Amino acid sequence: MKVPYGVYPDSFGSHIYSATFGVSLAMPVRHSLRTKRFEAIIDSGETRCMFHADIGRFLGLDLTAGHRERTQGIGGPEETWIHQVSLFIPGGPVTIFAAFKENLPVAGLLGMNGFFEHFNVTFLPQALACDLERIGSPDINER
Amino acid sequence: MTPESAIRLKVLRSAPLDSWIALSHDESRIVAVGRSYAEVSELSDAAGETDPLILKTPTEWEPISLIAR
Repeated sequence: MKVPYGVYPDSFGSHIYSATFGVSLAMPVRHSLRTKRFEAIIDSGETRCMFHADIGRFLGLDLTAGHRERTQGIGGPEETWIHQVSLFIPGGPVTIFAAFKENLPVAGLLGMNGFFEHFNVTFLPQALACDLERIGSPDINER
Repeated sequence: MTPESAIRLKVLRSAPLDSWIALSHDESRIVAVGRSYAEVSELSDAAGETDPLILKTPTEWEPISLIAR
């Protein structure tokens, strides 16, 4: 499926494009609360998927009860909390280990583990879009 | 830029910074603004939007590559 890049304002009064995708999350339990579709950035530089702590709280996660993980980034080390969640993506949901972080400036980042492992991703700069081809199967307990 | 992108850009420029916002399904208008994901989710329901797209706006519109990982 072809997904148009998202356009954002920049700090110069102009605009920039970013590869984004609308996803939703739930706890990996049948009939659990599911988020609405939220916009996350497709980011191959991210080791694993990372989401704003607010979304984890909405799902009912006790964030600091998760596995604490320090991550290294351009801005230095950051503290995140790892939890198992269901990520709803085209082709069926997958259960992933995702990081949750306070003060993330966006709702989510779709990284190598949890997202790129499920798609062949082709960036199409002239079309301002990316092509996502699902690989692998959804979870057995697909809802 | 496509007309849809131009409308989305105009909408995002009007959005409050450091907030959660819910866009209409076609991303042509803001249907709710909140201080948390839970709040904007509830307010988008109250606005009658059945398939919103929720975004977190940054404190400033800066290049995403500067995000600390």
